[in-house]
Amino acid sequence: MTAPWWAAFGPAEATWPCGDQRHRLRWEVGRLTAVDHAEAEGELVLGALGGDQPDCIRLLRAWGEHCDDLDVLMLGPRSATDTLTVDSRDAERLRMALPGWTGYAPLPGGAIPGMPLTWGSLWFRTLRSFVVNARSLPRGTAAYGPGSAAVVARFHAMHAAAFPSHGPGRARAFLPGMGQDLYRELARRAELLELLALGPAFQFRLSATVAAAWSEHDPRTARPALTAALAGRLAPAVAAWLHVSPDEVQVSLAEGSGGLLWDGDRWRAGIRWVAAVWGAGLAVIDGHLVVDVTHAEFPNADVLALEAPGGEPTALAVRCESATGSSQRPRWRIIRP
Amino acid sequence: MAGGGRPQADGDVRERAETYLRLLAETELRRALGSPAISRPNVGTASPPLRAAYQVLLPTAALAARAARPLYPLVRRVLATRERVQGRAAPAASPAARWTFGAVSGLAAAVSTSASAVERAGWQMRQIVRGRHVAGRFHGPGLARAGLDRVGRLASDFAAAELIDPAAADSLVDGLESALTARSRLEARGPGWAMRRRIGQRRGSPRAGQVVAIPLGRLVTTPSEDGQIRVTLLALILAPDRAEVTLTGRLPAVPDGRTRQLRHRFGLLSGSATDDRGATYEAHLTGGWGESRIDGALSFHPIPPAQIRWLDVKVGESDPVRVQLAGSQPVTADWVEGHTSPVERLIDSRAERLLSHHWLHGAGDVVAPEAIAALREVGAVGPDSPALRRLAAQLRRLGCDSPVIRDVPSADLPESWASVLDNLDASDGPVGVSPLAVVFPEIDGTRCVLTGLRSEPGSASLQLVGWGWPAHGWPGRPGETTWPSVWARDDAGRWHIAVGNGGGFGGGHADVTLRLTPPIHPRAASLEITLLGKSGHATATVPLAWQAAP
Repeated sequence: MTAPWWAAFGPAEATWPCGDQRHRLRWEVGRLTAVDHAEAEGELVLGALGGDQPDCIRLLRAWGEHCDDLDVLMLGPRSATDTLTVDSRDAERLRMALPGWTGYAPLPGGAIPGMPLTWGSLWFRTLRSFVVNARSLPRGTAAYGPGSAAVVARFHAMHAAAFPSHGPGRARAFLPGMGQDLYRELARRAELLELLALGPAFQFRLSATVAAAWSEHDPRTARPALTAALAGRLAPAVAAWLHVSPDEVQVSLAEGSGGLLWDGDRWRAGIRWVAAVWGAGLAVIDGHLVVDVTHAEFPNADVLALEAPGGEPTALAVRCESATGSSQRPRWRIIRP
Repeated sequence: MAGGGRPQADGDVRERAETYLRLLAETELRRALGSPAISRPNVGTASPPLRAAYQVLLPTAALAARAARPLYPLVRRVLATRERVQGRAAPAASPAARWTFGAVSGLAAAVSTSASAVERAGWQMRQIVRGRHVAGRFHGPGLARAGLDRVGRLASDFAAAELIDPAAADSLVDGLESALTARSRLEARGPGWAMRRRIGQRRGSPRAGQVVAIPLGRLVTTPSEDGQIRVTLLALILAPDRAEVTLTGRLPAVPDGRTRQLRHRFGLLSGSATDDRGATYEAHLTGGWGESRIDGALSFHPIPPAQIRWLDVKVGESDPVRVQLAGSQPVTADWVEGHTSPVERLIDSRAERLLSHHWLHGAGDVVAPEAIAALREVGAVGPDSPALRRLAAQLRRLGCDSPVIRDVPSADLPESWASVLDNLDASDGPVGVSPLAVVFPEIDGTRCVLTGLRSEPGSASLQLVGWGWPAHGWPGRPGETTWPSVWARDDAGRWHIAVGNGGGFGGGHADVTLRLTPPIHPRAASLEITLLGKSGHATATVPLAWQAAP
């Protein structure tokens, strides 16, 4: 594949309550931005220092935090017909399960309504915020807002020795060992539910972001989770294409970033297929199973697709016909075989 | 008893096992998506009074309960004092003191009544909504729950077989549950479940020297609304984190059409104790009771210090029983280290479970054929596995035909298994109770003390006080430790396999009744008890000192 994973994605926009207003969050070319916050990066750094964050900025930070979180692939949609019914109340409900406030996401307004903020809790939150936000950014894919990655990276560089961060180039994941702090997990999951509550367009984009992050790394212990993530998305697509049950579709995770292959026994693909093909809604177009995207500039893309299993993939030019920024699933059509 | 096999699964098998589990989770999610989504409890369509009650009562109940909770110990104490002085001559006190006492006890009663009433009303409202849910107004989540349970069981088995890290298995099951909830295929858990889950997590076991176990064997009688409750106190267990007196007894018969009167908040019985220093302790019953039997323990609070010399234990309104602590020497089990393959041990434990449940319809399902099939598919065991061959032999002897062992040749059954199978129909057990106090070393993260044996013609049961023994039959979490196998051999040569038959669990503590199959031999005078785990086994021999069963 030569095209960036996000090249076949159109922009997406959602509104979210921020204080007493509704603000816009926009996803474009692989990045999420808070359109109505001109100083988003500054607010982000303030938040990293323990200050209060507006809701939009908190979501930007959460997006960055979860951009390589395998839980996204566990919770997120498997196909366009797989509808998640989460909304922000689910996140609130999960947070209610936390004793006191032990979640690490700073709260809007700085404290739980009705609960006095003590010096002890303030100190704890500030420390926690430092530690959590001192994590290094994933490589290249997600950013909080225009230019913010560099600002936060500078902040990290300044404090690299003081605060722990995970190793360079290593994606974070919900992996063995992370399950030890139950309340931290709950807080993470509440944050994730908020991101998924942004709607289907953002759910697909966040899933693709995670898949893209993992396509650049050696999966090592995450191989089972990535295999399941691939199978959970590829099997319904192949089943819809062949009109068989998804349970009959055998899937394996392939090494590297190659496209989808049929080896006569099972389907093999790298996790990048989820990012570049499935995430963009390109999996099946007009009776063709798309194995790869060779070039894309939304709303146009050049893809390699199969007409039948065992055949040779053919090059197709396709075009997305749904409106830009629409919350509908993208509708791709073949424009040139 | 059986053991042996390869020590541990290699990395490839572990990866295949986790992949298998995750793919199963995907399949179950897909299957659940084919079922209708549940509607969230929506009182918007309910009648205005119900809607108003739902909206007002639930938050109010939660607030009232939360606000009143810190007051509960004080309220209980004040009410207990008022109950004691009621109907008696008032203590000599000034009018002001009497007025103050009256006001405080009245306020306590009001707090208790109001908080309980609002809490009850909130609970009833939840039941109404849940009832409607179940009744079909809101579609039931059966398929999703069944799928989640399937994945959870296999994750637990794989974790027990050390094919997957318990934290990863836990995370996987949590992930599937969240995915189902996010699609309205499962009802979201209410607030507080995380706290309950944390409370339920296992605590560390005490060290061997920290557990005092004293056999008692004292019969006590206490009145109840339904008649006299007769119990035999089996043993006193004193450890840094708990103090209990285990007991077994018989409940008075309840006339037809009447339900048993629960006298105390925690059940049928309560107790108390006083030590040689004058300190007092309260006790509540933990464990279980049925229509006629009571098996469990009185758990004392606060925990008496280890330095006390004696303890006067009172059950209900019985006369106190003095227990001397100084110089007590419990029987300790001998430990023999011998690592067994966790996968082989898992299969053996399934076979042992079958020995106890052979009478069940579809007994072959007891061995969890789906787990065996999964173990075979990921390459953790093959047809040459000694444990699988033992299981195959046992299933064939019991006449169970399971596809998962069709290609597996039979092995010779271990002597203990054959003995149990030979005596399955025995009903010649003696009738009596024998107090014990056998302290076992830590096995696979669990520790226990066996405190008594109760024998009847058709069965026998052991009373166990345990640390780190999770509740079997509940939705187990993959991170939880599995039970070691408990075997016993009486000196007449009859072997017995023990299986959990109810009990009380919480905070890593357990008070378990273990049912022995088959019954004790009528001429048995001693019992050799063995706990068998992945890391070895521990054995103790105890004489049987029969007393009349209450």
